[in-house]
Amino acid sequence: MPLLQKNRVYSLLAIKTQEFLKSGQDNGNTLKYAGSGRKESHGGEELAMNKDELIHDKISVPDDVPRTSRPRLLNLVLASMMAHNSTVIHGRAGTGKTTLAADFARRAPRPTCWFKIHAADADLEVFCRYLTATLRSQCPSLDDRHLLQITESSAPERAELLAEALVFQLTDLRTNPVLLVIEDLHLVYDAEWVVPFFQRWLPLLPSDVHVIITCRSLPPTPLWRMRSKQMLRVIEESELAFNFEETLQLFKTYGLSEEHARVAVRETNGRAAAISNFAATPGRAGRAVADNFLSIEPRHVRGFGHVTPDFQT
Amino acid sequence: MPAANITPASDRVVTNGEPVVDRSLHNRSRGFGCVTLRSSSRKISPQIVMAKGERKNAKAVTSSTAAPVGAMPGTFFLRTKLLAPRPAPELLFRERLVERLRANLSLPMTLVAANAGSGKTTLVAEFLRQQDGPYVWYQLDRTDSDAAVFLGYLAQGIKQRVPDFGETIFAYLQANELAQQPERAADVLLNEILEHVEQQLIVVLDDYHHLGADSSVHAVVDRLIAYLPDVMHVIIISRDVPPLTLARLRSQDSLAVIERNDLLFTAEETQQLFRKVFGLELTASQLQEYGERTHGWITALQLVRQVAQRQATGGDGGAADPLGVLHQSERDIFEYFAEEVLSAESIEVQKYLMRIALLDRIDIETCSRLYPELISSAILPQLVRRNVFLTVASDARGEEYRLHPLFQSFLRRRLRTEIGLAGVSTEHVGCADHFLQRGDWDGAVRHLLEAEDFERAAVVISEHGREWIASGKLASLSSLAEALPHSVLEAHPRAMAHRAEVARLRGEFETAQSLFRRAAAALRAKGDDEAEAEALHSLATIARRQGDFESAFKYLDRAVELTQPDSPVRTKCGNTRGLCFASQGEWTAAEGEFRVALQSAEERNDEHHIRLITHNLGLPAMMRGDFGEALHWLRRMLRTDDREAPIPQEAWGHLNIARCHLYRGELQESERHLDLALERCQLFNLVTQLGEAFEAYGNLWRERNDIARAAEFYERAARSYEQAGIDISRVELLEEQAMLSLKAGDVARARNQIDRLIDLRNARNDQSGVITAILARSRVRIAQGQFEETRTELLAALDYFRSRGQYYYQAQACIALAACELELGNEPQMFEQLRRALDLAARYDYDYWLHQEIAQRPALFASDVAQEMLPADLRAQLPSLRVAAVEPVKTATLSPVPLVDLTVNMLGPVEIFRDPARSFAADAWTTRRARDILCFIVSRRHHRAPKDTIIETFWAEDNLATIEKNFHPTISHIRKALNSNQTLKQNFIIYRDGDYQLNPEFSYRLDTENFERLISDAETARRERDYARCIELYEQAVALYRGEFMQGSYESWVDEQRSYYREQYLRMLESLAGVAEKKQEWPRTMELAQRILREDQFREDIHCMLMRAHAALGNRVAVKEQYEALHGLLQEELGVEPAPQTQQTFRELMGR
Repeated sequence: MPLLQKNRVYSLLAIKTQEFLKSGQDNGNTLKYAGSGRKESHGGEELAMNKDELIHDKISVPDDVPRTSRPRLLNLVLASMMAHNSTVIHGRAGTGKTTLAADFARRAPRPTCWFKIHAADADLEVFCRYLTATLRSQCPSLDDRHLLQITESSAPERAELLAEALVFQLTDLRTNPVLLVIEDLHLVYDAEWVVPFFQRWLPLLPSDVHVIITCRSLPPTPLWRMRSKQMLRVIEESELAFNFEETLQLFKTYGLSEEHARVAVRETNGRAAAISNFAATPGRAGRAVADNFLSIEPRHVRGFGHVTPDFQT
Repeated sequence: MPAANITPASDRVVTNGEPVVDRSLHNRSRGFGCVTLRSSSRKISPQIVMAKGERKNAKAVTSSTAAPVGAMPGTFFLRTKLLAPRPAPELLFRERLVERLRANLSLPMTLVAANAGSGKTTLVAEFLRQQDGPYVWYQLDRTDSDAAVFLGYLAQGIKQRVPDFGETIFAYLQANELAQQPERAADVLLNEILEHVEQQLIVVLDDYHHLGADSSVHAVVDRLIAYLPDVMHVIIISRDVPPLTLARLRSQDSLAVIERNDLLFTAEETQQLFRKVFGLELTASQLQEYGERTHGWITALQLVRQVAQRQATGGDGGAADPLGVLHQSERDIFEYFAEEVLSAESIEVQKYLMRIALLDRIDIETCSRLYPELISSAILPQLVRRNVFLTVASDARGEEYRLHPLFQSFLRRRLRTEIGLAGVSTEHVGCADHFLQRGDWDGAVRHLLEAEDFERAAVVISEHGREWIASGKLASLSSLAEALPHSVLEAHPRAMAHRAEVARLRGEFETAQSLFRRAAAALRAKGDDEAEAEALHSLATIARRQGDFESAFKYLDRAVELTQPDSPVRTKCGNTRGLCFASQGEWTAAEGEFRVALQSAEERNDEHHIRLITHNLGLPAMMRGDFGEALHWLRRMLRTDDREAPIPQEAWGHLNIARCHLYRGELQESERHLDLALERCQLFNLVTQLGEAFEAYGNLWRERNDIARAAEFYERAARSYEQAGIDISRVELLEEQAMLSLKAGDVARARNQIDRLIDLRNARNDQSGVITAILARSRVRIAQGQFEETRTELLAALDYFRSRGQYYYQAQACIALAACELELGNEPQMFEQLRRALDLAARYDYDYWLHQEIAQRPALFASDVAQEMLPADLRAQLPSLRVAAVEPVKTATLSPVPLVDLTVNMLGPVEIFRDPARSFAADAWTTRRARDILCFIVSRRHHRAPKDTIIETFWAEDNLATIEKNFHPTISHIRKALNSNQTLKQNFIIYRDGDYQLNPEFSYRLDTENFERLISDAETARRERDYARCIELYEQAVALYRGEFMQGSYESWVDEQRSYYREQYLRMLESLAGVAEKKQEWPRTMELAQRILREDQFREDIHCMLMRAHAALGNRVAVKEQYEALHGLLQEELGVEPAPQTQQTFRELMGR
């Protein structure tokens, strides 16, 4: 990738960030775009394969909207999109990967293709079917038959061939920038083609195609090395964790106090699912705060004695 | 994973040929090593959900006779079949027989068997009217020969008397589970009767002979009678002796039979009949004449009388000698007189009678439609009044008329003679048209067959077969379709396909296959793609049952080709294809197919299939070890609306969900779902499932470190598996028990258990079973220090799991390998395995498991490198996890403790409990009498008490009506109290041969019994001069005595036992005190003496003992005080001085 272009991207980053955050306010429009628009094209006859063999849910952006967006993380992803070919969001279950990716996809300044991986996608042909199906929503002229033929071959380098052919088509047959989210890649780590395919594909991606990968553990080693080559930005579990401010913002939507948020961060290590569960379980935040009163020495209690524990939230 | 061999077995499913899921998959007793994953510490064995019947969508008929609320939806339900006949206008009350019927009520069943016209129905109907209690009258006909139909009506009948009744049995019947095992449905009904019926209820099955010899109903009735609760009595009215296992009942004196000879009129009754009913006084010779000629046959008596009366009033002297006719056969007699009866009616009425005789059931609506020339609503009641061999059954909402069977066949013959066969056919066609309009398909087809209009009959079956099957009337569809000529059936392949479907549902696969093949070929020739696809799908399901997956796939491919994208057949094909893959262990492929099938079901809003398929979708994820994903799907199969009735399949759903939660360490959620699973298992009598549920409870308690409870549940599981005939090598119980032994520190026992399992599985060539057991054994072997051998075994196992994508096992194998490598000093290999284990734990969210492993294998995580691999939060928790591991488990004893289902302690205040940790509901014993009756039964010899004795003891002063009102509800209250707040519902009080007794199926701990046993053992020890043992046993017995027998109860029956136990107690205390005194153990002597005095303060010898003890301890003051206390007491209470002996002792002790 020419260095110059990359610099230009950086110079625009500040402005883009502003626009991007604004666009996020209007969930309605972006949602409409991300959801129904793409779905229609999947259902249409333009698809080469039988529509019944595709599970639409896998290639639709998840439609659950988070209670609060997290600008800190959205900016991280945005910056990564501007600077790298791909972003890996890595964290264990319930750390908020999918929520972040979906929120970003809804606000992203470019159309999104989504691909939720399942165990069955360990078969390269199945993987390719879905990958091309989701990409065709933005790049209808993609020749999926040709790509599928490659997967059917028994050539040992078929994964690399597929990667190259895909890059070729993405470069030639497409005009608009695209964001591709691959969710839960860890489910197919054990497939033999995963490393060769991604190792070949990610570095070759056109500059206006960005791939976000979410996964629970780090991708197999050789793929991982791309990080050092500035081709990949990794958002780690520690970065995904809710900080106090974010927790506070979330807790306000439940009508919970600062003290609740403080206890929650401490008790959950900021793990997203645990924080949400903490806030959403009636009474739990109140009980936790009360328990903390008991475990804190009396002189400390006096310090925030004005806080009334909220047992019923 | 091998083991996915499928035994052909049939689930009775669905209306239209689609077994959604294979029941045999989890039915290990049939030879299928269920799709199991096993783990060393826990097991994964998801259960494939049973197929459920298609929504029954036959429309309820709008006639006044049909479809009540709460009946099985879609079943054509005739309310009038549940009406008792009304009394005939001229009737003699037959006290001797009514008395016999009343006396029989304490038995489970009465059979009234005699030929037509013997007055059976009249007698029973009259008896019921004399009774105050509720009853169910079920008028059977040939359409009731399906067990589903029969149980539906029976349950509906009971529901009319007991409003809460029916939810479970209707849900069960809808689930269409019972074709293969109608007895199980009977059990569900029995459970519900026990639960809901509190007042004595009589059930009459009238005209039982209509069912025929081959009906599946007989098995149901046999089961019902064998286990009939005491609140119920069944009266079967039949022309012949039904093919039930009556011999056993007779031998147990459980059956009373009223036969033809009993029903015949005695001379005295004949005289009464003529006098009271006919207003005639017979002379002795006339009486003898009638007796000889009619042999007391009531019908003949009535006929003779009727004819005689007509002749008298009509003056028709031309009739032959009526008495002469009586020498002929009964049928001839009947027809002879019927001729007379009929000729007395007008020509119109004669015609009318002959036509309504063609109908199986006569209701006003049908008659008015078919024969508008006469006003049926006026003429039918009039005929009943005139006793023209017509009776009526009616209530406020409708009525039904029943012709005397002999009269009906006579009328039919007359009609044929008068209008010829062609005329009769025309009449039948008219009837058929009427029934078609009403949506009574089998009624219509019967008449069409009578009319020999086979073509139309075939069309009706073709068009309505699906709804027909949905209503459960398999037998009628099958027999009517078989009655069609071969060529007609060939010309209507849809009808043939429906006939085939019935065969498939009944498990007659060969017949079904042959019919489906012929139907498919014929449908292809006709170009009926959808029906052909459906037939092919059914063929695929049969092929799958037979393990012929290649054929199954071929059928499915062709079926999909034939259908449109939005066809329901596509959904079914997708699901069946998924099941084929699953049966072969190809779970990933299965998952793909299920997903596609689910999408198709969702597009059609087919909620029923959505639920089944989402459950199935959870299974591949479970097999992989992705429990979060599995839960996501499994939860979707549960009802969202609690108001809907539960279905049996939910038992599987809850059990699998509970397992997933357990693997994730969500123990509370796991328990909640286990409770629900257990509830469903009991509700629907899912015996094979019960063991699995107990086993899962055992695992739960093991996770909670409660060794004793875990062991108890494993014991229950073992018992349930044995009862259900399940091969122990096909389940994980031994492995789980081994893991429990390991946890309790009994390594040798653990090794024995797991080795035994491996041997059993090796003998069955169950490769996957062996490998998972080896994984479990590796934990034991590591504990035994066998690292080298364990490593070799584990490496092979790891390869196996890796090749099958079983991540949970892989993670376990990796960590066990890491432990071996650590011990063997191979650090790089150790880290490699550890890294892999941690990676898998992160990928599949094995947080809970990882916590356990870290706690149990601290050495693995001792190094900085290992700790670096852990996520930051776990690293921070390391110290606390290590502390947790050191904490001992709650009880570490694994000695075999006998299972106790119920504990009753009566020595002292009454204590009754089942699970000490789960007390009964607070209001369980608000009826004190119920609790006392339970204690009464328990304290009798053999824990049984005759019903009469119970009544005499507890209701001695009450009148019969009060007793009848209260007795059964009180017994029912005991049963309910013993099940209150308990997940496992059990019937502890059963009624057998007039006695109430503790159900011998269960085990009990009764303090009175233990008390007696200890005494008897002590006496034996004493006789053998083993005094130490005797004393030890005395002490144990004395410890059981918490107070007087039934403390706080003042019923007179208590007295005798109370004084007996007290005497025994005092006797033992005395002996113990004597021994203590002899041994000069003075404080002990004093303590025992005080205990005796608390029971009996006038025991001067004991007072002396106390004084001696005080003296021995040098406490003269106390000696004096003791004596003075005794002196004062005797003076005050009895006005006497202490006995001279006591005075003497006192003086000696005081040294005077």
